[in-house]
Amino acid sequence: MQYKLIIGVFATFYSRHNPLKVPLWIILPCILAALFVILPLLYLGIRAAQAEPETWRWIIRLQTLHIIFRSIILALSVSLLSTLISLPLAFITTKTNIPFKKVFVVASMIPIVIPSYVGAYIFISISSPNGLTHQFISRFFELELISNLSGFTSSLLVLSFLNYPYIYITLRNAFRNMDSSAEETGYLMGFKSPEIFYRIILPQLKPAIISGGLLVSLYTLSDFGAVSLLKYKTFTWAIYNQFEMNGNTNTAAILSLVLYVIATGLLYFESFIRGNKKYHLSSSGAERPSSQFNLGKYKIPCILFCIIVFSISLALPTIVLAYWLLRGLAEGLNLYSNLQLVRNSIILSSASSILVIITAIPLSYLVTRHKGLISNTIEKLCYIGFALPSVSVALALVFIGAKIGQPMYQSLFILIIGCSIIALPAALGPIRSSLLQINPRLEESATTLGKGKFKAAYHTTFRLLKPGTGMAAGLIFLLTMKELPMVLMLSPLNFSTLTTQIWSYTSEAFFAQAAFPALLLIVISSLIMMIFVTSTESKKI
Amino acid sequence: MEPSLLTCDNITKRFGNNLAINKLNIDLRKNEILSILGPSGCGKTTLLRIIAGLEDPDYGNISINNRIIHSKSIRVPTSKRNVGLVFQDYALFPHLTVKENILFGTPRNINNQTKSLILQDLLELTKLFDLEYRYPHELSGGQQQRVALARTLATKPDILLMDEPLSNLDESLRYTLRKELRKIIKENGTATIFVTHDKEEAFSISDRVAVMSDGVLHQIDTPDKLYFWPETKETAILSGTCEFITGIINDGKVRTSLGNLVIRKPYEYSNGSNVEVGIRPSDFNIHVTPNGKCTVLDKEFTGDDTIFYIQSPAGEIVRCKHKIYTSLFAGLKVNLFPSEHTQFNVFMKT
Repeated sequence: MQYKLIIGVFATFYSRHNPLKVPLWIILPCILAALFVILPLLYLGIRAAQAEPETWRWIIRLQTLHIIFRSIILALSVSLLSTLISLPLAFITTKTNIPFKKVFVVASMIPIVIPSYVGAYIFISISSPNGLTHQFISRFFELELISNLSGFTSSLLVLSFLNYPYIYITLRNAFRNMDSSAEETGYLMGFKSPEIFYRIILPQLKPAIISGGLLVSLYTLSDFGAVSLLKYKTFTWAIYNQFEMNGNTNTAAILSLVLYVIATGLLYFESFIRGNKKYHLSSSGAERPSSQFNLGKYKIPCILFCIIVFSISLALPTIVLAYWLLRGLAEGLNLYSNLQLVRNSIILSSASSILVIITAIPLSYLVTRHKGLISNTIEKLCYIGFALPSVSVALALVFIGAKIGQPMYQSLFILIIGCSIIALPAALGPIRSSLLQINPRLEESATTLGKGKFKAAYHTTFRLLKPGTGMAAGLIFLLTMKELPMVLMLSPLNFSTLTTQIWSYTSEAFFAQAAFPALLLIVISSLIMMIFVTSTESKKI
Repeated sequence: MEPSLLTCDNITKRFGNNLAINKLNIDLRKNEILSILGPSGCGKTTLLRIIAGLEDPDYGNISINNRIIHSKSIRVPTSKRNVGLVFQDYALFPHLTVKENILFGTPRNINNQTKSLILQDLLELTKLFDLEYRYPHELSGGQQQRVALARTLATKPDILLMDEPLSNLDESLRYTLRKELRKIIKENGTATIFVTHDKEEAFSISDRVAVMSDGVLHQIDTPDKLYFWPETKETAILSGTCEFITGIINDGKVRTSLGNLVIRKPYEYSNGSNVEVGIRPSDFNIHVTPNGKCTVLDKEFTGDDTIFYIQSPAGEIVRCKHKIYTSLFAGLKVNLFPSEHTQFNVFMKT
């Protein structure tokens, strides 16, 4: 009763004074979201402040600086290699007359659903001294062929071939939105096709490459599964180790903050070089399909390039997983135990999607329809999950949960909150851009027809927001499906998902047992990916 | 005179440093169509949005049927004002059919029979038969406009507000629709405020016209009074083509480079005042004579009329209309004589 009274008093007070002129149903979820998002960062800050001087000395030791250096080098190298893979791929599948274009487009995006630790596991199972390649080759030759690739090279290869779709997707959009009149001007000036590419198309792609590269760098910085399996010691590995092995939370908190500062620095660096430049021409005429290059004699090499990329990023993992699965089956592996894992994974992913959507809609509303200092601040806060690796968010939530105690500690609820904090920034993009396309007059018009503010929004904008919301929900589902450290550190007892199962088997090198959950994870994610890629791509391809 | 339905009292609205509406008073009578005429950016759309409750004024009171809907202490929300607004871009709900759009605002508690009666009435009124299951993108501009009107009328608003509802249509459609619109509104009997920047549209559709520029209301009157008896220079300009020449009041007439002209309300001006005289294109007749004092500078043929640009002996340029086919050409010497019964409007020089 008292709660109701307090809420009632607050609501009347708010509607009387309404300092922001923003309806309560928008501002309340936004404030809650901002609070939840800022909580981990605050906690880490407090922890770091409590650290003894000794810990700080440990931090500025050469070894730690070395870890920072290694992380950054890996992030930059992965971005570079990903760009080298995705630039030709995006060009071929968007701007040329290559056959089977639709198939190639979908195939280029699918690797995004393969979790990095699964990639690492596949890589290890192929290349390790007792791995598949070795077994295969030693059957025919008496050779010790495969040397131990360094942790850096293997991490670079695995992360690049799995993360390149982030750049591919931004590049593909850039190619499609490019105004073909610039190219046509080039032709009129007598340039040849290669010249047009280097002098006209490539410069226009700069912002897409930068923002895609930033995305890949951030994912690499926060990646935990692949680097730890491949024994390349980066930041996330150090954070996890300090916490799990040494139980040293203060050090882990400081390391997290350092990583946060680096990631934020990258974000600002990106917006600094991108600036406010608008690269696209805003011609008011009718939209024309972007021009297509005729491949001619280059058709075969181009197809070959695509096929090589797909065989590394798609075919190889599938074949290896299938091999391990068959081998496991031959040894009498029981598959039924995995059904529980699938159920848990789907519960977790769906719950996170729902929670994220519920907060992302009011947030996007606030940001697009009520611009101002407060909405700007809240928006910036919500991107914390983007720069803070999930290991650190998980770390903070473990302790916050422990402070609160039951019923929060080790509950599914806190796990869902953790996954949502990490996934929130990804949902804001699609929802905000579809909200921008909906005429605000529709809602006003509904209010003049006698509907209250919430009802007006519900009957008009919410209905029209469905495609954007669907897309965002799919994205969150995919991200949560493959999320590892959060689930590893925050799961309630006896709650394991596909990811934790894969992790526990692969870290013990039980490849055959890990194969089936990994395949299940990839198949489920690919299906969801396929649904929303085809539904959004079918209009314009 | 009909009693006032809507009263806006001393409305002021700022956007940052920009004064959008400055101490504006306006009233709307029952069954009346009132146009607000003004150039774009003069604050007329803001005024509509304030009346609808989509914006709040900084100062001022608004009441409908003697019930205050906005004052310092009272603020009735948009959904409770019973005011209908037709947007410039119609804002039809793209996910709903014509029928669903029209019935969107009808109360929940009325039964389906009543709803279909309302729908039939409105479809008949707006001539939208057979279109009720179409979606907005399947309609022409004119049809969309009528759906927007029907949707608003379905809620039986006390006041209908229309924000440039014809500006998205092509010229010929605009001409036929403005007649139709007046007919529909008059048949329906809802008091209406109609915002436009097109003076012809305002004159032909409305009972009274309010002329507005830079957030200030200059004059509210019937269309013909506005045209013939403008009280300010702004009204004269906004209500039709108008040129100004300087003159000095002399014995109830005004002395100008085009001769001594008869003025309206001569008793209001004292001898020797410096004034400006408003000249409408039909105020003078052209007489061609070799020793004429004025010179034809240019001519502009618009189909219905031919407009001549004529320079007076003092170098002032006025426009004159000439209806019949003529061999008048640039460079010709002419004399100008005031048309019969013309009383010129004079404005004190500022």
